[in-house]
Amino acid sequence: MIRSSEQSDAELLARSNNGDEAAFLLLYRRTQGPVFRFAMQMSGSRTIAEDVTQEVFLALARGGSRFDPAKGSLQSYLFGVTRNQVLRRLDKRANLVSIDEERDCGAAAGSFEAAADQHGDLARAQTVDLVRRAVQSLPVNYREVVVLCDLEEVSYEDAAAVLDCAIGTIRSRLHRARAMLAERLQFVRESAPSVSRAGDSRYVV
Amino acid sequence: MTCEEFISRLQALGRGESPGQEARDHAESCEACAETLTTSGHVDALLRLLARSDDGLEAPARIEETVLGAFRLAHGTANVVSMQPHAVAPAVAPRRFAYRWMGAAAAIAVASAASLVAWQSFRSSDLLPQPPVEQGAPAPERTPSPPFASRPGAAPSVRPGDGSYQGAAPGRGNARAPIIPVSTVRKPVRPVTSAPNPSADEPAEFVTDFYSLVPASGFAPTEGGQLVRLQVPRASLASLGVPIPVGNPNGSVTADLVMGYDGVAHAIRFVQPTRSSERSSR
Repeated sequence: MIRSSEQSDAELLARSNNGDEAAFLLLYRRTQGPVFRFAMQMSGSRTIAEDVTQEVFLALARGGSRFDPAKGSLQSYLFGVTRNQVLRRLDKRANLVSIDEERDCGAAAGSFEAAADQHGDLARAQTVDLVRRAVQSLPVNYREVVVLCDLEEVSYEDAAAVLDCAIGTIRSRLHRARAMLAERLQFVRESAPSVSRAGDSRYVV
Repeated sequence: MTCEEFISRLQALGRGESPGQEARDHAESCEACAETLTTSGHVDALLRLLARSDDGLEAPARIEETVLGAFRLAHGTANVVSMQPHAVAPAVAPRRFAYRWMGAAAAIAVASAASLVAWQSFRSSDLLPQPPVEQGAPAPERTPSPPFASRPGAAPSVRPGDGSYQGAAPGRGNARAPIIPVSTVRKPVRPVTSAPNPSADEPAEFVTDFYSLVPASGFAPTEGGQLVRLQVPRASLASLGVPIPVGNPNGSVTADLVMGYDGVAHAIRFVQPTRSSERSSR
């Protein structure tokens, strides 16, 4: 979230709770992007992401948020609310899986490799799509740490606050999640070695 | 350093942190750990690719307008909200309703201002459940609301049951008012049953008058249409200038919309189900 402005998120929230529309608008524009992306990367659905983003900010607009600055940043609070909303919707959707979705899920793991095999030299967009699907295929508790820490670059401390767990848990889940991703994306590495050369490594070797 | 220690070190690393010389030495001597380190870097590169790809993703602009409307409502500045058609669409399924009800939503926006007065009177007196009337006793005479009474030619009929609707020719008086009630007397829909049901005397639901959604020219003649029942979020009504009196601001209001065969929304009325009808519907 943008931090260049002179006023903190908490200050803007306080002003907007007092009816300052400009403050609310600034706060919304600062925070809606990460919230929307987090919801979309977690759910894999633009529709769900839009619904969740709207719900999160409607609660904020009505002054009904239970944000406590003592417990963490507003960013962490919004991610936490977003996560709860996404999980609720995913639970509902899990009970209403269509035949097409079932077929897609069942074929998900195999389709990664099949797609890579067909297109030896993957275009960047296809690679991104494959990585997105690999992240989507992770179990929720691993997916959320990857999305928060690796995609949204939230600190481990903030991620621990969002997920209400210890920092050590974040680290171990992240490590396990990355190992799962490595397995699922191994063929991408074999097909497109330039990706790993071009990217800046997480660990400085 | 052992392989377990190497993995623990790797696991404990933060973003951009180096595993250290000792770990690097171990990786040089251990093929498996070297592979782990390389793979981790590869996954990191792919994730960064995805992060960069999604970097510009933002919520659509209509969400900002909806949220801003709710903010203005919550802080008493709802009257400055622009009447965007999408603001009427239900929050849970905005896309589904966006095009289908675009015309209806615009018409609701026009009707909302006039429905303010009717809504308040609807909730306050006439349409609240009345005490049961003894059989055989003369029915109490209902006096239509003065502003809407005695408008000649402004009473198209709605046939209960089949949902069809017959329009009426515009009367002289209709041309003056931008929004005109179709029915001059509020008609609670009563259940057609003589069974000894404790709720038999209670109407199934209470409805307001129909209000024309055809501005200025009064109620346009039409060959017929369909009566469509839909839920309008309270927040949307409020963002259009209709105050939410009491109740859950997250709830919705039931409304009947008269859709002509020409695809135009001609009239709207608000519906309040009674408690007995709600119980029976469960």
